[in-house]
Amino acid sequence: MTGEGRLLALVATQDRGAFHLLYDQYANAVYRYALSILRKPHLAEEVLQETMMAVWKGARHFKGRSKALTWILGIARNQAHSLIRKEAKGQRLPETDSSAETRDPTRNLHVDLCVQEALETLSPMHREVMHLVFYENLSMREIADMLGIPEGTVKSRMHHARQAMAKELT
Amino acid sequence: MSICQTVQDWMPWYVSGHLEATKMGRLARHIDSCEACQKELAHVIQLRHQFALAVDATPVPIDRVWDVLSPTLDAPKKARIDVGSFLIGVHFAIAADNQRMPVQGNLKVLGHKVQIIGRRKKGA
Repeated sequence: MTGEGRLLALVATQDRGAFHLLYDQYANAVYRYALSILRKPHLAEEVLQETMMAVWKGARHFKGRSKALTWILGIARNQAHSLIRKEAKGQRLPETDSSAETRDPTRNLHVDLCVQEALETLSPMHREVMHLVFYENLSMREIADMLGIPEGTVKSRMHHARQAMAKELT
Repeated sequence: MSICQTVQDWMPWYVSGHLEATKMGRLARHIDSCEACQKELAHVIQLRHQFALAVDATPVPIDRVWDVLSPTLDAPKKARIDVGSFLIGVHFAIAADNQRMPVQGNLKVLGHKVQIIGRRKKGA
């Protein structure tokens, strides 16, 4: 069993220390992936909370057939789409103020903002695939398994995402 | 589809090293001999870098979410009411806890449980 598998096995025994370690290890990835789908920080925050609670309650279901990261991101994806459905039905709570968070001031804000603006023009499914490839560094097979789509569809979504980004950034 | 188009579609995974050795070799040989694909490769590397920087710049409320999440991990049931009769086989139960699913109600008819309030449990 891999280190991540052992960590999830400990979480399955309701080991709080292991869960805190797992949270520290995956919270960034879950939040940023949720944000790539939802584009709203307060919703991504809710997805992070719900996903981690689902992991706490359901770690015993992890069978090690995929990486822990893709298993957890799969849960986050379900949570994000569940929120999208609730939003569509008007069942959502009002947005809370998350503006207290600040960006790293040493960063090149101009480039970041240009990329962020270009990302806003992508459709959610193109943005999601680009995030999984460029940020999470997942293989085509891993993304296909996680999203339940053929590898060719992953490739074509990435192709369209790159084309759209290139158009926006030039 | 042209060879260049095929090569360029594989480039994101070529850059991340997620291709099998033979495919990596084939792509590397083509890129070495093709100016257009060299240019595209540079674009992919730059876009990947900029994308990662932009995502990294996003603040993540790690501590705030943990502070909310942590106390709910072992949330005990706050209330449970059961009404029914074993003899006539009808039973109604309603339960609440302090997590996000506040209320669940079940109706038991002749030993068969039917959930009538709240969400059915699913595997994670």
